[in-house]
Amino acid sequence: MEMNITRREILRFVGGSALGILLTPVPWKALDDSAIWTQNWPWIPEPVRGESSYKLTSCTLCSASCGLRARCIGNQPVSLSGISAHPLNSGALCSFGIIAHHLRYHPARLSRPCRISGKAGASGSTAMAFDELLLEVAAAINDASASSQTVAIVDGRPGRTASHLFQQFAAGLPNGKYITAGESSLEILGSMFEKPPGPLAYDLDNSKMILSFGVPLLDRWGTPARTARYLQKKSEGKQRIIQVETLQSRTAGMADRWIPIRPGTEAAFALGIAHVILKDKLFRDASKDIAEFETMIAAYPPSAVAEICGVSQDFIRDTAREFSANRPSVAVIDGSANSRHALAAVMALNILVGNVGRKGGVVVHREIPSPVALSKNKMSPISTLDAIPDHSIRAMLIDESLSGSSLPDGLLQKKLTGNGILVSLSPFVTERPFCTQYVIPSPVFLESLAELTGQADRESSSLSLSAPLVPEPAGMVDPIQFIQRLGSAAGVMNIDSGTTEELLKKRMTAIYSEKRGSIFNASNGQTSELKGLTSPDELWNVLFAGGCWMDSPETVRSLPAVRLTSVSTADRIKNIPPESNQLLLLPCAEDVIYRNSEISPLMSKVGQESGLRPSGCKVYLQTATGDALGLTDGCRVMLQTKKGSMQAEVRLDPSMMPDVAAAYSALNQQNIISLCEMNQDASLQPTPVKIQKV
Amino acid sequence: MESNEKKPRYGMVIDLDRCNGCGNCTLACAVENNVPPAHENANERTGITWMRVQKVDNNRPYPENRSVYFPLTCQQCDHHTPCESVCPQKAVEYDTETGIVAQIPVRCLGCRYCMTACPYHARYFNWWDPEWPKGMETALNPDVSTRMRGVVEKCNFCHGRLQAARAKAAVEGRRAIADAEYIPACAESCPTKAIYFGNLADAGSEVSRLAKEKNSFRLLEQLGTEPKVYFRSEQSWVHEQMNAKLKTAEKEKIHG
Repeated sequence: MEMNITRREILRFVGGSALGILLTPVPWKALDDSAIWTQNWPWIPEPVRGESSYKLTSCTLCSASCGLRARCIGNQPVSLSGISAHPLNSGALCSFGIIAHHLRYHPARLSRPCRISGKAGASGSTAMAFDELLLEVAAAINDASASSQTVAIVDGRPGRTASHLFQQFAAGLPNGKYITAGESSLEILGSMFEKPPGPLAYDLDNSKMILSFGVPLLDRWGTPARTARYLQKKSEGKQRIIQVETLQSRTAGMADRWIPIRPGTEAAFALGIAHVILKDKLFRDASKDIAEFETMIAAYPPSAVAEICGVSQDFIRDTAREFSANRPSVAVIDGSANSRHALAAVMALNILVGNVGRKGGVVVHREIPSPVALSKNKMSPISTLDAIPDHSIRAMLIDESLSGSSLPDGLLQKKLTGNGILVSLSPFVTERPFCTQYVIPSPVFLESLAELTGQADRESSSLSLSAPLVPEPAGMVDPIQFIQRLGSAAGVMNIDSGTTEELLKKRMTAIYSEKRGSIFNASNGQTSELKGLTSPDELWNVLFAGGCWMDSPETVRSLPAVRLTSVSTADRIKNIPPESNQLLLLPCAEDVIYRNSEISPLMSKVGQESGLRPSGCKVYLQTATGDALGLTDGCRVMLQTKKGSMQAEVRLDPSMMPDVAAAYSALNQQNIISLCEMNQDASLQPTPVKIQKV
Repeated sequence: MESNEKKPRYGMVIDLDRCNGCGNCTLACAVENNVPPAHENANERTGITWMRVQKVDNNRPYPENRSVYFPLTCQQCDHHTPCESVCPQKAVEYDTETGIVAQIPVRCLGCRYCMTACPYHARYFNWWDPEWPKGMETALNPDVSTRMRGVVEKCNFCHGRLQAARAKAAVEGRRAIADAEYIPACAESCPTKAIYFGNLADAGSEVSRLAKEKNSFRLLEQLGTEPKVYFRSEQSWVHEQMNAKLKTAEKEKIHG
């Protein structure tokens, strides 16, 4: 039988098959799979799968020492969250802490020691061996000793075992100085006593009223749990916050009252309050020089202060009465943004109403036991950078291995000699274009064992450990190794020996033997008396696993005499820019916070994407001020001060104070600080600025 | 089979009087859902931030000016979900068992109809392949897949966490999960406890109670999409100004 296949039959077959296949799952499956294949290209990163485990530790990013829980896949932390029962942070983490496990991948991470040229713009970074670097630095230190120049070591986290070794190092040099970069307002308060009263701290949790001069209390200062605690206390009528600040910050927005004052008039406002307290006999202080102090501040009655600060006299009187009546109260001020004169004026308020040495005010912490501090090796006393003459430091060593506190570059530059060098221990490259800088790489958070002490915002001090969860890269140097090896290279032999772990274990033994304070165990969420532990090893194990030791509060004791007259009234602030068409330039830092090298690259998710590009500085003006100058939102202007000029983009904002220009530096651009006048102590002054459209 | 009344309706109440705009929710969300750092060419329209903290003020001049921060995310519309109804690929799925509106990136063809339809600007298109700094890809969450260039993504109330809670319950022989077992990363990370999350269908839950309070409101409620994200504030101007801000649709002008 002959079989003839016609063209028509072939077409029928093809058509039928095409129709038939549509009735099967094949084309739909193929379409679905192709969508999946095309979305799984090999260059798209895929998460590493594996079993989850949880490890407990403490955050090192600031002295708040928050307890945290790391979710790990294998040994790799993939997310961080707070430990809810932890007494220091009550489960809260700040936005830096919540992504701190990314720090080790930061593009600015330093892998080798290097020397950076002192000339601005010259990319003179030279990698070198650690031993080679030590020899060069030791030579500079020996040169300084021979020529009676100062060698200073700056510690951003005093009270650690490493801090005590730094003090030993400074004591072993003819002109060695140990400098702390802690909470400068408390350092100022300490200096107002005739004898050092001991480590001071604000007891904010027990305070009934907090008078804050620009401190971001409800934003990013101290423990991230404060906002929740404050809102709870506020609802129960147990705490009030008055925020005195030019800009409507996040804290100003949430506080019970916001008092907007003109930029740079914090000192005048504080002295106005002091004037009312003295005049109305609301003080409780017994300092010898109170009559003299009253004479000193006679020029600051509420009427004059109201004019200087641009607020009503009633605000000044009401604040003074409220501050005095609602004891325990405490006055706090942002040490990084104000002159020492302003810090002293605000601290005088605490003295006047008897808030110092009182629960809920400024308290004295007990010293945390330290075998290094008690060893035969002498320790240098604590100095402040202010007390050191300008251009006298030949070599300055800065421990920046733990972030959280630093000194302004302007002040560092002022103190260094012409050929001065700066030696920084840091995980990141930080370029300071005014001197030759040696940078030694240190491990970042989660890579090494670190000790956390302090708590400048709590009733008593605490100590925690941050355990290494991931291996550190080769070539990292921790602060204890750094100072021991530098001491050895420079011939300073009076430094205690031992590894970081050995020295910390000795400290655990010393704390355990004191049998005081309480211990939080993160594994079971319980807090118990330290004396309930059976051995120093048990204390070590609890702290190593995210626990925390809290000292018992200092019992009330008599404090040394205090000198109120150490408050200066010299630099009274002029309130209005003298010429028309001028505003007051207020340098701000908030906009650049997520560009800092000490934070995760993921911080770019917070804020505006356009802010990440080098688009120039932004200047915020009150809408009416902008209108009066003929400026529109988004237009470009030239900012002109006596120190220089810079282009900026205008943002009109109804929350801004009239006649004030709040300027934010832009990424990789000229810093707005270069346009500002500086006080003697390197703090910035609000500076008259001319703004012209370009 | 469970009756409709017993099915959970997961929702959120955000207390704007407690929000200090810290951005923890944004960051925790990015960590949980493997959202990469901002691309160097990204702007306010093209960047991806499933939960973005916005600022709104009372439009009064200084010194009466006051502002609040509000985290804006997918509002999880419960009725006539606009994005779901326009998607030609069935890449948006409304889960009748939980009320969660999920995005399925592998089905998405990138037409962006859903972005046009969304009245809350809560959907994001991947204009670039995801990139992390070298080594950081090892710290990604293994429970959530990364997305490629050309697809849309958005908040899904951390669906991976719901799956994990369900899996744990199944292993323990339970069908239901407890409220505390499932909480999205944003709510967990909020240091001021401004974000409440739970089952709106459970009259006894905290989130249900707060949603019914007189100071609670929803965005663009007049559209009738029944969002399951509520906001609350004792300041009367907040409600009006937030809606006004959304209506402008000028994301470039929104200062995060």
